[in-house]
Amino acid sequence: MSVVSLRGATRYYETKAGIVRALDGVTFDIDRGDFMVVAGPSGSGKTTLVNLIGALDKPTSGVVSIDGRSLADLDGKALADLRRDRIGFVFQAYNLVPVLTAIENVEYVMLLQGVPAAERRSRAAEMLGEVGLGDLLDRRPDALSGGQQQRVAVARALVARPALVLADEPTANLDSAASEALMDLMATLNERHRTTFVFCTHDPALMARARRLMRLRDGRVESDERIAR
Amino acid sequence: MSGLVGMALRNLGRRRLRTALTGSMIAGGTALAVLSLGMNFGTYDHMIDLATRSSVGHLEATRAGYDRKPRLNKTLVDPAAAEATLRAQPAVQAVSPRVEAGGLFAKDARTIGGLLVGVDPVTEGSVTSVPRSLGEGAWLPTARGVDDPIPAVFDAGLLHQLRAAVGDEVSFVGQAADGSLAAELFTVCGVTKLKDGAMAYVRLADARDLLVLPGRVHRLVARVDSLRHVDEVVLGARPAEGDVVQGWDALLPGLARSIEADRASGWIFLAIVLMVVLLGVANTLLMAVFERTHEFGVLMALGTRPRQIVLLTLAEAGWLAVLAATVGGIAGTAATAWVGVEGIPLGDMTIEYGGVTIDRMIAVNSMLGSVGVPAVVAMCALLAAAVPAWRAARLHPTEALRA
Repeated sequence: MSVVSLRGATRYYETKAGIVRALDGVTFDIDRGDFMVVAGPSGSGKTTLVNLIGALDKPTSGVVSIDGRSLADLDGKALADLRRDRIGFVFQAYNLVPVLTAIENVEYVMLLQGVPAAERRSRAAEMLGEVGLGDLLDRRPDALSGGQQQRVAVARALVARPALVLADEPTANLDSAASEALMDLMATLNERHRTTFVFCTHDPALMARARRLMRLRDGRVESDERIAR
Repeated sequence: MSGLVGMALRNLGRRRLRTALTGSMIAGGTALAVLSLGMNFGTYDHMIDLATRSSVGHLEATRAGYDRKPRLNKTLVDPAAAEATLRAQPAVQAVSPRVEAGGLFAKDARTIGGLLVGVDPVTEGSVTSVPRSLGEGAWLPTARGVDDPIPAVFDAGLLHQLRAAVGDEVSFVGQAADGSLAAELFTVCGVTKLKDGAMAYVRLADARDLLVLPGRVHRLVARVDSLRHVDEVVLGARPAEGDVVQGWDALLPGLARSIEADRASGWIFLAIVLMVVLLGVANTLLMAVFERTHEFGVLMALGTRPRQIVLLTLAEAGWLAVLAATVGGIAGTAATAWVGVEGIPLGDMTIEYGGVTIDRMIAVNSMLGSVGVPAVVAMCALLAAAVPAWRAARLHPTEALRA
């Protein structure tokens, strides 16, 4: 069963220079348990695609459905609930909330979900431990290195056990050991819970572990292949 | 919900500069508004106090209509009942009787019209400040021998026109209540400081003898523990039929009207202060929302609903408003109390107002100032935060993330 379905999904942006077709009639499904890499040069439409399948944006035309629900039918509240309960994001720029500590950042989604304080504290601490930050729980983002912030962002995306994780260059700021550990963690979650992962990356190591590789060019799918591992 | 409210409080603590900036604006505005209101109320109280202490007291019992048309025979129907009904009220601190009559005062070839007032030398000082504010000489004695001259205290203005001084004799000619001629020779024992006053005070017993008013009273002058209780006492008094009890505002209508007019401008000033606070808070919070656009985008991407963004923004503003308004209220109350004790001397800039000369600004605390103003400021600040909160909730996640 597909977690995400795109049918002729198109996203235009109106700019002063004219209309930009960031995504142009894209059709494909993302199945539960996919461990997928989306690759493509800058401007190929990766970020627009992630925004659509992350329910952050709606298509100009075509249909984008998540868990069988078309985004066009959802209002702001329903989209927020969908993101909160089903999707985890790892942004390239980390995007941690600056006034919250590492553990508070990781707890945040669970706070929105209404998880009791003690439980979310314990789960957040455990997840930060898994990404190697067990001793930096109370540090705020400005007191963490880029790699440490990236790992907090990964922990935040994974802690609530979302069905779909969207990660933009999740290993970009990590050394090879940390990168390997993180990939192992995500692969484990993928295998154990059939969590769906979609990565936008140029990292060959991550691409080498993908079981599906999609290439975008000029807003269209150039290739989409499943790789047996 | 409570998690977001708690997070809002934490956010304030971790954004110290912005919190201090907005908080000091709210606290400063609140303190200013509390002090301003306190000085308004204090100055009014001071004016009323000066006016009532100089002659009329906080309230008076008279025969109905006596105030508009004084007549010698228009004495209280039942002075004992009027005094009893006033003294029965806990707020009343003192009551003193008076009789009075117009007449001519003369010395040598000079004759001046004035008002002869018979007062109780002992109790008068507890309802007005006349006995304690003499410019020269001494207050009336409590008793005198049969052959002793009749002592009188004159207002400085009347005595000056008569070219008389302490120790001189001044004659009085008027009409007694029985229609006979009331003529007497007084010896000046003291002079008030009232340069435009035209009254002469004598012992109540001497005035009653002269005017043939045995046991009768024109006015019962009373003082209460606080001006706030005047209306309560007036409403609670049950004098005999034909007698009335009136507060200072009915006795000094010119002063009451002046204060009422000034109070309106005071409210306008207060509204302006609140408006400045409101605009300042709205501006600071709006700037904060602009600065935090990216952060709101992240929160939205993580699944925060628009309503929760509003809640978070309003909760931050609410915490800040309540804390800062409380601090401002305490500071304003303390400043008002200080000004209430010390006063602010006006030096040469004394103010003539409603017939009263104000030489210093006095402030007084009130529930309205200490509690009402901070509450209104906090509500205004929260109201001011509504626009930024609404704007934050309307952000589009992808646009906010690009900011």
